[in-house]
Amino acid sequence: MPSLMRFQYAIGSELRFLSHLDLLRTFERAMRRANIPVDLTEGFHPKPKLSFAAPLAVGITSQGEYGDVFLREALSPQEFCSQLNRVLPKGLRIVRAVQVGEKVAPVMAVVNGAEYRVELGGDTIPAERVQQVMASDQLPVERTTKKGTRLVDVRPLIFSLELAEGGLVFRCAVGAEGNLRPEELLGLLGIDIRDVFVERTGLFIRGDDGWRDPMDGIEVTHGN
Amino acid sequence: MDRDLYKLLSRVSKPARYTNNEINAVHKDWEKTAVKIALAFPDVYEVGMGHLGFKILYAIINNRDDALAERAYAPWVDMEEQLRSAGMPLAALESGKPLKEFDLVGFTLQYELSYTNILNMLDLAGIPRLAAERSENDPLIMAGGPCAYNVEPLADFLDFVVLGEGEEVIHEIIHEVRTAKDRELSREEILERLAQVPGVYVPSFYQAEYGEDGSFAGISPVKPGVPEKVTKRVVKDLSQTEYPKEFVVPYVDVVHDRVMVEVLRGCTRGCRFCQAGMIYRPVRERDPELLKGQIRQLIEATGYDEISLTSLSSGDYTCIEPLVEELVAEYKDRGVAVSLPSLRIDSFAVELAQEIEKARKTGLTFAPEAGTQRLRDVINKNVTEENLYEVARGAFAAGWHSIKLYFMIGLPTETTEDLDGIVRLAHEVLRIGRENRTGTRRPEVTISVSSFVPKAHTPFQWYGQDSKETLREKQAYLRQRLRRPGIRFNYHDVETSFLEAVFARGDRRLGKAIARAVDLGCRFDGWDEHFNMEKWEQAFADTGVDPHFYANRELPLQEPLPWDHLSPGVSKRFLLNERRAAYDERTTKDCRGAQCTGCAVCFVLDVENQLVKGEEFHA
Repeated sequence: MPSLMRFQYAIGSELRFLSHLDLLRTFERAMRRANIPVDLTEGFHPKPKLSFAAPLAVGITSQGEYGDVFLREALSPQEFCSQLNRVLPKGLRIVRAVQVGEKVAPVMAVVNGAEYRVELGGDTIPAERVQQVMASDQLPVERTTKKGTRLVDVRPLIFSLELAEGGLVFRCAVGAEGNLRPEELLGLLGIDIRDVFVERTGLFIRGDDGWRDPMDGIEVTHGN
Repeated sequence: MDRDLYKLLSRVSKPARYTNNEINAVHKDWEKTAVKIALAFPDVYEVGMGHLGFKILYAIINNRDDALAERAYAPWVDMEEQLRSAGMPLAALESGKPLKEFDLVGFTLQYELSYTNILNMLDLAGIPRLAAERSENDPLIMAGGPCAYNVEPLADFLDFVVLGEGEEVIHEIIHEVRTAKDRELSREEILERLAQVPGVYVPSFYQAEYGEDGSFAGISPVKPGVPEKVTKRVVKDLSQTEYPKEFVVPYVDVVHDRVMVEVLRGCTRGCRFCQAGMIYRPVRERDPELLKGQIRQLIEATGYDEISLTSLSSGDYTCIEPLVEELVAEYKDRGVAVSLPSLRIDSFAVELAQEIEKARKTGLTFAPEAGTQRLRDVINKNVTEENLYEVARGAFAAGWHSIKLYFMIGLPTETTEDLDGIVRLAHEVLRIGRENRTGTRRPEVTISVSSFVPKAHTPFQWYGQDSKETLREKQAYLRQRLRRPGIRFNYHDVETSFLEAVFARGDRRLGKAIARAVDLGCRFDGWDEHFNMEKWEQAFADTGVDPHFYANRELPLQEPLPWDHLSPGVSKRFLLNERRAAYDERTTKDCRGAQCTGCAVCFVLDVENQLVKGEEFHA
């Protein structure tokens, strides 16, 4: 009986430079090593039915990444976590997993908010600078994609920005309906992202009633 | 990861290729391991990680308690810049230790255009380029691989070279290095001992002589007890040799990123242009049950979704058909595909390819190599025009829409008629495609033409490569005649083929030109975006080397060759006979299933073709 497993995972410093595709490959291979009964797509070249929410930029670590995987046989979330954690490389860890009904929208479609923490490593940012950013009506930045370079107003994508111990914490939009690149905000603050450690502390579902954890309201099994 | 390293890696392309910690990478205790070996691949990580030879050596060395092997690759140009400006030496991946701290640094010589990368890696590692300038504290620099059979252009830079297969000789080398360390022997003493190991060549123990006209006049040992001729090492039984039980699984996309098992080694088809066919003899097949076990183990250890049956010509493997069928059946439901990278042209290959999903996506590739039967007889490519048409009919009828054909230009005795033959074959295959196609897509024929490079230890080793002008004219001739819908024509710039020919038949005097080229900034010569012929021309001019003398000169048969003292076991007499047969347009049969051709390998190396029991050999 096919089922859908949603899992949260963390990316440590060892694997911060993996690209999204690298990560996908790494998970596919780990699942095969762990004998996880992953469901495959049809066709000449079957691929595991595996997807991730909001790709993480290269160079950033994370505490709260999410993925969905379809299984062709039942497996308890506990077994899923422990079997995978046994074979995952250093720097990649399943935090928790939960079996969800197939009617639940894919995690990649619902996640639309992210929280980042920046460790400045001795440098400081004047509080006025932070206030200026938050007080602006518009924050146009140049964004280069495959289609070319265009100006994007990133102000509506920034929800909060605060100075914290040794760094910054900010919340912003991710996903298809608006996506802030951390380097864009850091650039506005005069910081080169290549000089500071950035970590994504979590991904969320933004709603009228606030920010919700993608696994909220579903029974969760913690990994070990 | 410390902040400085993070800052450095944040500034280079694909930083994950430098960060280590891949699954199955072996991290041994540095202090407690006696012999430390860096396996250095003179190209980027993505290319080097696909190299099966290093996977085998990595496993064998790390299986020993007294030795460790780590990996090192050529940093891409942006990383080189970062390393240089940070003053960081080139290091191995696993321990992060500089190459300079290893006992041995072993380079693989896969192709001539990676020579500059070897010198550049030594520079980056802070190891003197010249063997003569290295001190007692520097590692021994060794090399092996196909280009070792004419390693003379690199003679100044290498401490010792290994000819042939490494599975057994590596143990003897480690033993010698360990003994030398225990007894605190000098570099010179270690090399003297290594020179006694069969298959090991110490270039500094030999001196070359040259005639007044600059021609090569011979090479001989300058130390007592050093062999006149070094003969390659070979394993007798491929089923008894060590093979990795796990592969290091990379994070980034690399070439040949899959489970590879070597179904057989060597090829005796006897194509006269082919160096691999001469230097890897005899044919030894691996037991199919053993292969299945290796595959199972490797899939479990790596999680790969593809199995590749590798060899010089996997379609020749005696049990290829049942093996592929069984593997496809066993792994289909697990999303693991089977691939055969080197399939020879015949109708049997089409049936086999149908079993394999991957081939359906990528199209079929065949290599008639020459356009007329006459020239195919000259090169001993025993394929007929009718073979090709049969394959084409079968492939298009089975649903393929695209076929790729490989040819060479500049082969000995080639005339315009042979070029016209390529054009005729292309048109005919396209016509067959239009008549036999079953799919909706239009049939397509890709003609890929490379320029022939004469290689050492082949029947064509004496042949002077066509001049660049002649090769360009031939390319233009073909381009004009292959310009029509449905045909795609690929060819490569002649400059790199020329440079390859210079080094393939070079002698020690080329060393200074290579060093000069590195000083001028040459590296990654095999990469179009970095290859710079002007710099090479300057390097040759600055060092007084005439490259045409090496590439384009027809070598007199009586002239000594710079590789006469390095033997793959194939006799020079055989090569001369084959050369004669070529010019007489006579073919020579594969010795599998036919009579001995007298190449002398079995006699010299005390080995023989070893085929597994199964179906008849598909001649």
